Amino acid sequence: MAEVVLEKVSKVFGAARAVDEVSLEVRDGEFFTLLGPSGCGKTTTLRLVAGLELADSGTIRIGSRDVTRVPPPERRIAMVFQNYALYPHMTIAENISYPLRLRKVPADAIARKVGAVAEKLRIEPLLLRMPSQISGGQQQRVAVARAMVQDPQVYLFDEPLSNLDFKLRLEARRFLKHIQRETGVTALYVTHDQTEALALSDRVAVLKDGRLMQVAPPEEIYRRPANAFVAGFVGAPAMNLVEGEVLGSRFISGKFRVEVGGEPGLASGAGATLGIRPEHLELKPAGAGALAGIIDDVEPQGHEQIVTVLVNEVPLLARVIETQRLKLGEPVSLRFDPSALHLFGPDGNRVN
Amino acid sequence: MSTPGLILSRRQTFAFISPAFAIIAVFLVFPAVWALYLGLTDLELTGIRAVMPEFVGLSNFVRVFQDSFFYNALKISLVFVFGSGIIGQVGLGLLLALLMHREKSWIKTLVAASAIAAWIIPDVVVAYLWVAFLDSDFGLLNRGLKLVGLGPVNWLFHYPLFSIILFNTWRGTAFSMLLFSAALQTLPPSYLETADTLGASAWRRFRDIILPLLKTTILTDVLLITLWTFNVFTPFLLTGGGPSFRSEILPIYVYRTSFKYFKLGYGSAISTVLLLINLAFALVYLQAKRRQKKW
Ligand SMILES: Nc1ncnc2c1ncn2[C@@H]1O[C@H](COP(=O)(O)OP(=O)(O)OP(=O)(O)O)[C@@H](O)[C@H]1O
Ligand SMILES: [Mg+2]
Repeated sequence: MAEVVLEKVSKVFGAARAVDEVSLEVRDGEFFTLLGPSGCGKTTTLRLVAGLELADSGTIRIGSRDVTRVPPPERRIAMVFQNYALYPHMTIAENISYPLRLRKVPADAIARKVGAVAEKLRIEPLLLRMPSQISGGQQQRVAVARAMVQDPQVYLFDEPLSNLDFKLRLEARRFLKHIQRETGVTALYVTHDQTEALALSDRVAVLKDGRLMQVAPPEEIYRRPANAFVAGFVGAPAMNLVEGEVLGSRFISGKFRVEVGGEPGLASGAGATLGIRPEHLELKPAGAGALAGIIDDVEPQGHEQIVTVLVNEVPLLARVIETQRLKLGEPVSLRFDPSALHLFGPDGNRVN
Repeated sequence: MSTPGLILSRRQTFAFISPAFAIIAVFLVFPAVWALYLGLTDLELTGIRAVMPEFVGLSNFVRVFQDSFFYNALKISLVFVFGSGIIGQVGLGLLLALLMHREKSWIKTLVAASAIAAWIIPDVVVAYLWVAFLDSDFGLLNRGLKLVGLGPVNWLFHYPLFSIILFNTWRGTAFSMLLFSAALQTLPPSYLETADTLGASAWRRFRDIILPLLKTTILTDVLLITLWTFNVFTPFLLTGGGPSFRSEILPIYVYRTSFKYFKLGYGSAISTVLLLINLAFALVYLQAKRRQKKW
């Protein structure tokens, strides 16, 4: 078991700064997720920790050991790739035992260990099959099994669930979390799926263009996004973000005005972005809420509806749980708790 | 009578491909069958037998198997195929492809470019270059050896078989290298990267992962190279089969018999034996391929 520490780590590919001065501290036994849009440097960060890429600058430590220049096998990490990288010509048992065979572990010890891990992951009946003869979900478990037999200090997962269909993904996600809790091994997990990140992690790091945007537990990422990027990236449907300026205690964007309270910490007249999550907007009959508008669009989702309300030409999404019948063009109003408002300054950083 | 799902009826299809078949028949099948037939006659290039060849049955073949020149040529061919084909082209090609596989620098481009260059230069030019390279008085190789105080060695005279093996290896390695490089490209990088994180040595990576996954490609390459090398005639341009038949591979022997001694019938019989040997290789290969484990 070990913590993973990155200090000002950078990796440049040609002109692209894939990872740009990233500093993080993954605690011992933590399930830590790197979240961000495609191309933001998640995989590269993971590969830097694995030793498959070497950092151009900065320091990487696993446990208390500086591993910045240490080759991968000496880092005591186990990596699960997005495509699982199971060897198609080896049986499941051979795949799982391969790391141990490379380490020249005696045959009976290998058999015991593979048996134990296979039992824990419930893949015993598959041991003699070939990878092509098992399902994607089972392949994913086999890949995890191959990581587990290595007794690593850190698991590295690169989008291990993205090849699974939706239902299987939920199941595999719970299973993964369960296994990680049980083994207590530090996990560094990469995904671009924010629900997955929030559901699995003890803490989440949000990345954008190789730079760290925020590191916090899931609730905090959701409740107090540190900047407009995190605010817009995390949450589905995405947070309503309106660009405008703050005058006195008011946020103004054209004819759209909202009272934002006493001390927004912004100079009067400064540019700002106002945010509010669709689930924090309550749809009310016209006149009952603070913001008056008309219904522009309704998207039924089964258990809820996503309603677009035009408020002074600004479209705002609201989640409506009840199955109330809504007509396009109908005048309505929106109510919200002022404490649910997010306000970001001209640099995009949170100010309230 | 059109099968559903086909654009053309069977009859139309046949009409379209029949010209191609006709050309193949006239220019490939007919000469081949004709050569087989010639092997059963005592046809010669000049003299009375050139005009009135007689059918001699299998007696040419009986003679082939009692012919010490045939056994000499067969032995030299086998060494040549093994040395320049299997060890040289397949082995070296695989080695180069493996070394280049994860290389990203300009070295990769350079090696690939020179290998392809060696492959596309016309035979005659390559042969000339090698004759010049190996020349006992002015050759580059001997000049080089002289610098380190060795030689000069008359390569083509004293080591004719070794010389043509070297030549043919250099000539054909590019093909195998490109074939293997292409096959390696199709392996997901994560296969080898997983092995990297596990600390697999280069040898284990090769034996445990690359070799099993490239087996089919290697088999195919071995077959192609074996057949090509068996039938190649270009070494004639270096040594002419000599000195004293020490580099006389089978095609050169066929040539000598047919066009120097004018025994076309007998030469055709040797060619037929050569064909049968090729066929045997192909059958062994097909058998090996069929026995391949499927996954
Ligand atoms: N080997 C490489 N050579 C050149 N550029 C690379 C290489 N690997 C990554 N990059 C670049 O670095 C940036 C980050 O890539 P990375 O693969 O880390 O993104 P990611 O966050 O994992 O994206 P995704 O969600 O699509 O997997 C991208 O702009 C990518 O094009
Ligand atoms: Mg990635």
